[in-house]
Amino acid sequence: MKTLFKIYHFLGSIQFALTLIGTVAIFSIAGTIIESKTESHLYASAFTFGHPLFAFILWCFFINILISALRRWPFKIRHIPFLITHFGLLMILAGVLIKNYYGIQGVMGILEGGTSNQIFEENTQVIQVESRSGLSEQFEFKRNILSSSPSSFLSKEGLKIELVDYSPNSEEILETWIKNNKAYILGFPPFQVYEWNNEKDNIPISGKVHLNPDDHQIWEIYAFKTSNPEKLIQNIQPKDFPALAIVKDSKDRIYLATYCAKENPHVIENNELDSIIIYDKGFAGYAVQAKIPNGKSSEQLILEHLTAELRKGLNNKNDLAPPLSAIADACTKCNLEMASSCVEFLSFWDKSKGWLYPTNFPLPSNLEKMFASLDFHYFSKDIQNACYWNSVLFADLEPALAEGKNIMEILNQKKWPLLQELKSEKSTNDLLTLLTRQIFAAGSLLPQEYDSNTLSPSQKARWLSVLLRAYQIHLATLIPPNFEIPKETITIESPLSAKRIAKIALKKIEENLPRITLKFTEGKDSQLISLTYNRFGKGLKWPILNGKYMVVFQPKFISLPYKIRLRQARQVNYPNSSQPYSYESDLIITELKTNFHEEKTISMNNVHETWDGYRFYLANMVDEEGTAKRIQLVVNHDPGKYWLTYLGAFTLSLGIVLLFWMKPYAKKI
Amino acid sequence: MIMKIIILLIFGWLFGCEQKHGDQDFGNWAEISGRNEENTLKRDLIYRVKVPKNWVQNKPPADVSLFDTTKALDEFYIPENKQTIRITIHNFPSNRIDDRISPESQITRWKKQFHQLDKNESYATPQAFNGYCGYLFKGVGIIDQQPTMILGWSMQILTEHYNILSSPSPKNKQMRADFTIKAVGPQDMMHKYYLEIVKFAHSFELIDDIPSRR
Repeated sequence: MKTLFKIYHFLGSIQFALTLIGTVAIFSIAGTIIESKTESHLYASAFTFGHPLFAFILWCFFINILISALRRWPFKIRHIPFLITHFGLLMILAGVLIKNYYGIQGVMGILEGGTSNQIFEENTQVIQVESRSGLSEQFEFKRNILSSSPSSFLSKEGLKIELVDYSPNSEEILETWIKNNKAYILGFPPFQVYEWNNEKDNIPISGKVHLNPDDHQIWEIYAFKTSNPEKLIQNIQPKDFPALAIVKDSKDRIYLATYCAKENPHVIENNELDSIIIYDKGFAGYAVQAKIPNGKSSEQLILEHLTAELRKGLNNKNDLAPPLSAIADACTKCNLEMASSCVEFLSFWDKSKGWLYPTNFPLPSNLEKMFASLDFHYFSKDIQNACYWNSVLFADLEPALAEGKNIMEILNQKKWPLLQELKSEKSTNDLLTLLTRQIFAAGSLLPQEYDSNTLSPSQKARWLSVLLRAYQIHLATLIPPNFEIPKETITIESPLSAKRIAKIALKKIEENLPRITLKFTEGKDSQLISLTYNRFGKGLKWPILNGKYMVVFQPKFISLPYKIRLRQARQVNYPNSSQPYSYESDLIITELKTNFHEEKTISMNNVHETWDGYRFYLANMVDEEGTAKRIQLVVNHDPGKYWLTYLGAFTLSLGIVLLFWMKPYAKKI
Repeated sequence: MIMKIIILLIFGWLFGCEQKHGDQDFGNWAEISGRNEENTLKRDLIYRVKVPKNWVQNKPPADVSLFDTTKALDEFYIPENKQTIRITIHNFPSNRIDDRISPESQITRWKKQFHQLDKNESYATPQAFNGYCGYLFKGVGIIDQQPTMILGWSMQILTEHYNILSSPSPKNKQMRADFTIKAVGPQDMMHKYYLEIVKFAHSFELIDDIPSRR
């Protein structure tokens, strides 16, 4: 009993109080020194204010003040100021303890126009698990210098989560296209990746696939790791086109090079992950996409464009030039598509390099069929004459043209009757066109030395080319010099995954990104996954167990009884200056329980406090898209602030005033 | 006596801090519907805007289809003597983010409406409010031989909000649509009501909340 009495008095004694004050002073000094050495507030608080011992000291203070007051029993009037003072102190301490256990301090990030009722508590760590059924659970994970949390959790849906490994610091690298020694294009099996270091190394093909489902082209796929991607891309000589090379350099940058015909490769870097494809809200994973040329050469694209334009013109056949009408009729007879057949003929003719289509230049089978069906009786005798005599004349002229001889001299030698008219033409093409038309003009005067019933398809092709020249329908005239080649692309995707590498822990704990490795088990299924801490909770959630759940390692999120909508955030400058004077945000604050809302403008030193003690501070503002802003609000809620802490401070102050001003004490002073 | 002074000081300290209120007491809220889909006349209420009391609202009838984006969602007039300022609101829904018309294209179209544009007085400035960003175009010049001013806002919803509202539901399609607010009127009258029109435009917002991405 005596011992208990001694303990009781010691607990309420000034010696105990001084011991506690001294201990707190030591903690404060230690905290200051640790923080200055490590530049880490978290590190310092782990050993001082955040330590469980510090909470114990607060309780000791509470007991000391309480017992020192109770020791005055039985109380007299002269004890009143003393008791009021001690009561005030107890209220303040109670307020601190309640805030420690039940208070909230967190951060809310909102983009202009957005709404949120969630804050995250900085420096907390939770494993958040979301299931397809919509259930979302947080499992708090505490692991710091001095304490740790349970190593396993069980979710409400029976998912078991076990901690397998922990690393205090790590780096997360998002991987696309090439991971380890495989290249990934969504929809295809992985491609083997080869190393390439210099020109002596081989350049093997990694695979051949139909990359574009809309056409039948087979793509050659090359996949390499190299320290010299530019050199490699230039050295790749595909055997067939189109081809795609996926190249990763020593800094993990990805290059996608597309090879179409014998043109220079089209190279894009695909490193900016500003656009990620999310499958099934993330349950089926993520991918990145890249738009690459569709593998067609410039020539193919031009011909396709011409074909499309010609198809538009076919709506009204009466507007077609006579040679095109003839082609249309021939195509109808042999069931061929007019626009593509016509453009194909123009392309072949252009490749022959002849002014007229040479009869010894082989026609593909479909064009041969078309010309076999082409009936030159469609045209008048005069036109047929002109076609024949143009064909004869240019049979003489084309070899000379090919040798680069002067066409006017040749015509002069041949005593061409209309030479004078031709002298005004400056370009060879215009001259030859006029020459062709001159023969057409004289068509009725020219003798008929042919039988149009016995023309071969290639002869008909030549005659048709005469008509097309007369109407200036040729590939060169249809494609002007500044013609912009249409760009057609296809989209390919690659699954997005993450590589998490453990790193040495930094002294400044705040800059560390811990990594945890977890084993998830549900029934017979289990999966191991590593997760890096996501400091602001804005990162991707990773699917596990075949997409049944998604998990993320991030701060603890708390829902508030208020939702905040940010209308506009702005920087207010000093007049005629770009120096910021203030930062302001226009908010709508809605109490979720009553749906009562108020509009408020808060600024850096102007906080908003709700009736129940939730305080919103504008902590930061950053630029987002255009001139839009994203703000950070620090949200604080101290449940005992008014009725304990503030009232306690008032009570303490009253007690102090009474101590000095009440007569029983005044006399002693 | 001293106690009284102390108590007064305490009360003065507790209640003496001035609470800053935003300038948000301007007009009455009017709700504006979006566009209907092609095969129905049903329109969801999508937007709200604060309208000054002296303005006249001319809402399109409920039985008129607003599927055509050349038709305004709503119109307001500021009548004064024999002059009027006309304010129209349009939106431009899209299925994909790449299909959106750029704000610059809208401004180019407005510039072409002037028979004679005063290039020294006309400009476009970047704007951002209520989850949208784009441009404010101020055009001064002659239209139909009258000195006219156009104040036009061409705004697009921020990309993050567009992605959050990306589901194909008709309401989400309207919510993620770009919008324009265009005020046209005589120059002197437009100068007089300039601030009012700007406040009107800056109050334009979605009725429903857009949740923040998590």
